Amino acid sequence: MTQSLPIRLIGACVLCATVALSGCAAKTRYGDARGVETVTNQFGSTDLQMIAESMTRSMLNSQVVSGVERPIMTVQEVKNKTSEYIDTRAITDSIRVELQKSGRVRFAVDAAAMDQQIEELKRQQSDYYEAKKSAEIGKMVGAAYRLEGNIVSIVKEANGVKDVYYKFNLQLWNIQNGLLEWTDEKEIRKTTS
Amino acid sequence: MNLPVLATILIASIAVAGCAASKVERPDFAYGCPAGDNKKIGSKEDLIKAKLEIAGSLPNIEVVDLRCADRSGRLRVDVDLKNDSREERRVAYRFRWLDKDGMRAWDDETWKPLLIYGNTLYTVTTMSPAPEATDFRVVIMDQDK
Repeated sequence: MTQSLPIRLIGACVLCATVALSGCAAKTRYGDARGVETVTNQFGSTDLQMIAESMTRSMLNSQVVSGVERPIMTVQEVKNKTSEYIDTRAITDSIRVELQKSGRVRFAVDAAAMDQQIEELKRQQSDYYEAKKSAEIGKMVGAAYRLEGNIVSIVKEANGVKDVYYKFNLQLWNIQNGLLEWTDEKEIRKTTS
Repeated sequence: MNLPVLATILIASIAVAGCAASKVERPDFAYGCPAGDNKKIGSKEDLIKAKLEIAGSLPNIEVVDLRCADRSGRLRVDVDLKNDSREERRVAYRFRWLDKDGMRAWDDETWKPLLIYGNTLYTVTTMSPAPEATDFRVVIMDQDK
């Protein structure tokens, strides 16, 4: 059966458009989660990972952690004093993961997870559980050290150049005597022009 | 020369010789660094070749020295990178940690960006993340492309 010229033309146009659009379609690929990310100069994955790694290695080299006994720590707040949104909990979580994996540190339940901990203890004390195998109240171990810190930034912009400077500071305090046992900083500078 | 002076010189000589003897290389180590499976490390160049991995090509950047030391049972490593060009160069580096059997001892580190000014030397320093991480490779990648 023969087709008329306008129908053939429309068919050809549809085919060309399909080919053109498929050429423009966004391509998705898996990347290196640990690669250097420089999409923008805002706080990014590379900054988070570098801070966590740098702080952990520094702390593992400190006297508190390199001793025979594994110190018990708790994580407190890292204050975000920058002008942008940064999930500082993600940074402290990464630091805690690396320290725990090193086998040199133990972590006690922190303030953020305390409600869940108490709730579970109370639940196990209920009549639904076998008393002998339930966790007892009054047996939790308190931390000897607390981790806290802050992140600040200085942002400057002129003549199409934007410079961002981050400084992350972490401190390890002795809860018993209030002494600062270890502290370190990580600086990062990013410039976009 | 009287007897007390001779005795002092003799004691000092023995002390100096004793200090020199304490620098003896441990087995399976070369220049203070773990030799791993590579038993043919006869020079610093051999050691750098054994420990260095370059991802792609890395013009104008050279690893000129590599030092290791034991710090409370963990390995401390210093790597000297030299930028031979007059222009500043950007690279990224990370360490790969291996255990005594050559197996991976730690997760992949993050790539750390680094700026090296023209005709200057930069020392990259690290510490092994765990006591099991007894050997390493330093991996460097060009970031100027």
